[in-house]
Amino acid sequence: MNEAAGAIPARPFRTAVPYAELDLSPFADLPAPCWSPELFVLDELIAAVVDRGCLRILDELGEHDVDPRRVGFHRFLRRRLEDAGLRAEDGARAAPFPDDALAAAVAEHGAAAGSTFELIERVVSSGAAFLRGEVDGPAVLFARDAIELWERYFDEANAAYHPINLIAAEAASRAFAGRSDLRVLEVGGGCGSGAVALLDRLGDRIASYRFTEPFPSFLRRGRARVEERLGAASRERLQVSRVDLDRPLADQGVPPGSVDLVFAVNTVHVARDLDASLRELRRALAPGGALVLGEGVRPRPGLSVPIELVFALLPQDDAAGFRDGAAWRRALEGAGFGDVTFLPDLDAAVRVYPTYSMAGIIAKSEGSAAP
Amino acid sequence: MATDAQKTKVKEMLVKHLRLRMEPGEIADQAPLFGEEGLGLDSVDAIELVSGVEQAFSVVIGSEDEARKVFVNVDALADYLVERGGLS
Repeated sequence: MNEAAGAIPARPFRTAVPYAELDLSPFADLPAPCWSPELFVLDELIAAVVDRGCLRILDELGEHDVDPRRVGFHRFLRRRLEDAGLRAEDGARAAPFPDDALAAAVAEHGAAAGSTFELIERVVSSGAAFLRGEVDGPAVLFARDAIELWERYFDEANAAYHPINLIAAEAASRAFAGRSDLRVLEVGGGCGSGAVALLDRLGDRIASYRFTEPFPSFLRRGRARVEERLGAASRERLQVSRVDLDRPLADQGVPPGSVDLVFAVNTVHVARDLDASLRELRRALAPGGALVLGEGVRPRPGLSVPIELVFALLPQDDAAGFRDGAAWRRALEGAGFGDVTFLPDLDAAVRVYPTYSMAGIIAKSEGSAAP
Repeated sequence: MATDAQKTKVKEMLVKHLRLRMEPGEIADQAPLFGEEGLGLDSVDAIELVSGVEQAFSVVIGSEDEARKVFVNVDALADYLVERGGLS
């Protein structure tokens, strides 16, 4: 180990702070799977595996030139390592946990998020070739054998992803406490895991559920999943259609003022024009309505989120729209929403856990009668 | 030229492999597979279709160019599979 070069001594994997020493009060009233010792360990383990992956990619690149089309990914790798307190110049020596320690930790703690680790490994193993311009991002992420992997990534069974569905569903429940006969529009419903979480949480309080998704292949998967969840007796409550967040909603069969709840998990941050899309979503809301988002959030402005490593490979970087809480508030208020709240309280959450990065966001339409 | 029976096998593969909500008989021979008209499949479907063709007919579609030429409609795909010995 080269201490002079600033390398950090390798050690078995452990979390930065023991879970038992954390002040859990900001998370105390979240549904159980959204905050637990297991999720805390998983969260830190994912970050450690990503950071080790960033170092491995840069090591494998060596002195080779970066293809000019790939400088954004290269910049992300270096920024991610800086955020993690590591130095790219030290290469693999800087990794705080050796590969075998990480592999052992993934075997012990990672089974519930296997698809997340598989996705990360997929990117890391192709990262250097991507930087050299030898492969392109979609070819890595959407190869034939990757479609099933994405389905598993967005599934309820992925303990690293599903909490965002649960937090968003809990936020929706709180936004409409005491109300029923809700008309719901979900945008970007994907394979349906967010819809299932919302249906589980609100159940019979939902009068109608319009499940939408822009991509036909995912729409079919999502529809099958939601129909399965609803059962034959409740399917009359369900409408399914293609809706693209980047186009006017009224042109796609969503009349202004027609829904009480617009629900979107891990979706709105990819809007090409966030302000325009948020205004469209607000227009769809009836008086007293609310937009409820589940989003990955930056713990503070500019700080990277580990899973960005995966999305940074895409030509249109889907993670580029990740925002911190204050930026989401500004965007929502700028689009005319009157009352924006976060679940959990993000400031409190980040104070006790500085890399916390997941939130339900409730934005009520101005003049809202919703409690 | 593929026969009606061979085209039906292609339609059955499409419905089964892509989990389409329709009967094979509802797919017109010349309906476009992709885009707003016809079946409205997308790029993810195209990837799955390559797998479906390989699994159902043991024919490997090796390049994007090749896929673009044959994933036009049922007629084109069935004719291609007959030519490659995947449909008899």
